[in-house]
This record gives sequence, structure tokens and C-alpha cells, in this order.
Amino acid sequence: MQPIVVCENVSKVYGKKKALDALSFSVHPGQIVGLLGANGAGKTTLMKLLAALLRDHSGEIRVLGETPGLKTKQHVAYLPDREFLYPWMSVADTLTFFGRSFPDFDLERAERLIAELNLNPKDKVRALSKGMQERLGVALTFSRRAKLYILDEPLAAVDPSTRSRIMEMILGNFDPDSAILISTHLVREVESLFTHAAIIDEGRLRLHGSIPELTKGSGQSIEELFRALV
Amino acid sequence: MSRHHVKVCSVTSYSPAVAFLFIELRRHLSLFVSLAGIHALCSLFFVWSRNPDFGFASLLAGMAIGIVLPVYLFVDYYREFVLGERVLVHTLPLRTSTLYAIKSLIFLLGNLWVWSGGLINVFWNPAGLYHTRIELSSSPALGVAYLFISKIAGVLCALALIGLAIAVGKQLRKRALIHTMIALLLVATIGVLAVQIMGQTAHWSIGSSSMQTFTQYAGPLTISNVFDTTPDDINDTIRWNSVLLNLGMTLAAGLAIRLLLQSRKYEIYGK
Repeated sequence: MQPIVVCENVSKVYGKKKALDALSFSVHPGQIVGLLGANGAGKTTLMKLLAALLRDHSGEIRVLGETPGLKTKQHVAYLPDREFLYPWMSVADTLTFFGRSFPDFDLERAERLIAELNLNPKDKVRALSKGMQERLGVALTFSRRAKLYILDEPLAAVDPSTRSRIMEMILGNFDPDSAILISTHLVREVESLFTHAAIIDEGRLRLHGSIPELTKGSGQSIEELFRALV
Repeated sequence: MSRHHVKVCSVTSYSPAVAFLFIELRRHLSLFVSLAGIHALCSLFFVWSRNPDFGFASLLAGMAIGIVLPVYLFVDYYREFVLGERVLVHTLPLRTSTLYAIKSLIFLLGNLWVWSGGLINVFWNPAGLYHTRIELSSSPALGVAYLFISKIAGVLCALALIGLAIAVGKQLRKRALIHTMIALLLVATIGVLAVQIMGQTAHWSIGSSSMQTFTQYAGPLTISNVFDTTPDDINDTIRWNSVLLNLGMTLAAGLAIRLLLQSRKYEIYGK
């Protein structure tokens, strides 16, 4: 099966700082990959390269066989690590905007998800709590029938109850033909979500593989491996 | 099922360009409408009142709009294409140059809408430009056409120059260098245009309009040529070459913006 993401020897520098250093790895359909690393490890840089928000790098990146750009944006759903919706829009306006903007947006799924969240379509985004906005962002992202979902720290700023609901939403809407890349430094709390893990430290890929491979081979949990390496 | 589970909205067709166009329209509409309203009120004072205090206040308001509007447009371009504050916009399946073009279209229409508020004074005021000068010229139709075409060319050029400065500046990494490059490019390009336009007469004033002549535009800068004696025919002050200069600069800057915004060096989220 064709990989969804292929990175070969990818490096990225900001001035004199090397954010990514000769990183190589691939993501296949059906995988939920935890991209683990401390703050500043290079997780967000890698995600932005895959989402075609950053362009200038060395090495090769392929998303669905293409260089990240206009074509891949149609199949990549990216949830950034900051507020990204228009606060003055209502929930319903936001759905309409996504529906018009992305060819793979599934309106019925979106309506079901916001109903599950008990969101009032007439509510303004700015009127929602931080946790609700986070959940709306995840719901909108997973309302796209994308091939690659990139979630940058979706669980960092929410309480444990919201975190569980977001994780349920992710698992409940996962299509095995697609792949998910989730960055986090909350390893213990969310490692049950992952089928694979990639640990990045100072721009270098320190460990990558399926969860059973990594844990059985070392006899350690993902969190223990993470702490040992980072 | 939730109490809110209703048909939330309907999406008729997929068109990210149209979606972004509507977003931009909604974001800026209230400001454009407000400024156009103030401008129109200022114009009305001139039509119905000869009170010098009202006149002075109206002129001041007009000048303030002339400053506020370009600053607002620049800040919005800067936040979108330098800081990339709204991440969602840059995940849309659209080229960055297309995003820029759509935003510029809204800004062009908004600028013209605000400017049109001042046309009340031009056309309705018996002592305004049309009745005292254009109507009595050799070709009123030509004069009116020039009034509109020169303004449109000036606004187009202003938007293109801001975009060019931002696209060039964004090729650099350090924030201070970006700001310096943007400032230098804006001053240099507008300066070159202004010198070309001012060079046609010995006297001129910046930022004002005149009853003697048609206003000229160097992108966002308005320039009035001043003569010792008022020309008999205002159409003698038509300067098509200033329009061509603005349009030429728009075209050149537009092509450069397209190339620069598509380049690998242009990264919205570079640190």
C-alpha cells in the first residue's frame, strides 16, 4: 500500500538553528502516529512542512506521492496548535465556510459531531469555552474525509474530561484508509491512542515504529522510552 | 440525539475562492461602510452649508480617512501575509497569490466605496468640481472618465505596492530586516512615482485636492499640481501618463508578487 507520508533526509533551518536534522520516516494508511518530543524538538516544524505551510527545506517530502502544496492541501486536514477559527463566526457559519472551502468536507458528519458536542449552531465561536473551541476544531478537522490528519498539540490545553472526549472523537471518526499524525508531550495521557510513535529530539528522529515493536522490544512503556531518550 | 441536532447549514458548492471572498467581505464591510458614511456626511456639509467650522471639520475628517484607510489596509495585509495570524486561511487549497488577489479585490472595492462618499460634493455641490470646472470643460465626459480611471489606477497601484513590499520583505528571516525592507520599498516606489508626476509642474501639494486641476495619484499618495493662474479648461490638466505609470507599476508589482508568494523562501510560519 502506498505510504501517505514519506520523508527522506529532511532538514530545516531557521537562520543558524537546525529545526529538523536529516529526518526520515514514513506514515502508512491506518496508522495513528504519536509525534513525541519536548517543546522545540521540531514537531511543529515537521507538521507545517507536511501541511505545506513551510516550504524551504532540504531532503524530500512526499504526501500522497506529491510535494506538499496546492494539490495536497485538498487531502490534508491540519489542526494548528493555536486558535484558528474566526471568533466572530457562528458555529453554523464555520461549518458553511469549511463546506465551501474543502472538497472532502462531510457536512452530515459535521452536523452529527457538533450535535454530539451539544453545541448550539447559533453560538459564536468567541462565546465558546477554550475546551469547546478545541473540540469544535477537532470536530471540523474530522468532518473532512481527508487522507492525512495533522493535529498539533490538540490535547495540551484541555482538562482531562475534554481530553477523553477528544480522544473518543478521534478514534470514533478514524478512517483506516487515512492516517493521523498527532504531536504531543503528554505521552502517558494519550499513548493509548497511538498505533505508532515517533520520538523527535532536537530535530532528529530518535525512535520510530509500531507501539508493540517499541514496547515489546525494550520492555518499556512509550512514556518510559520517551523519558529515556528526551 | 442532541436538542441542537438540526440541519445547521447548506453548502451549495465547493469553492474556496468564493468562501474566502465572503469572509473578507464580512470582515471589512463594517469599516468600509462606516468610513464611506463619514465621507458622505462630510461631503453633504459642503453641499448644504457654508459654515467655515463645518468646512474645516469636514476637511479634517476627509484627511483622517485618507490616512486611516491605507494604514488599515497595510496592517491587514501584514497580519495575513507576514505574521500569518489566521492559520486557517493558509490551509485553504488556494495559492497564496490567489489569497492576495482576493483580498486586494475587496480592498479595491472598499476603497472606491469610501471614495465615492466624496463624490456627493463633486457632483451635487453647485460650487463643486463638476459644476464649476468639469461641466464647463471641452469634454465633461472625458473629465468624469478621468476622475474615475485615475482613482482606480491609483488604488490598484497602492495595493500592488503594499503587496510587493510585503512579498519582498517576507523573503528575509529577521523581523527587523523585514520591516526595514518593507519601509524602504514603499518609500522608494511611491517616491519614484511621485517624482515622475510632480516633475510635470514646478508646484504641487501632497494629500490635497484642488479646484484648479484633476488630482493625480502616486499609488496611495494624492498630489495636486498648483498653477499660478487657473487653467481655463480643466481637461488640460489630465495626465494620462500618470495613469499609465500607476497601471504599469501595478502590472509589474503584480507579476513580482505572484512569483515571490509562490517561491520557496516565502513561508508564512517561518520562525
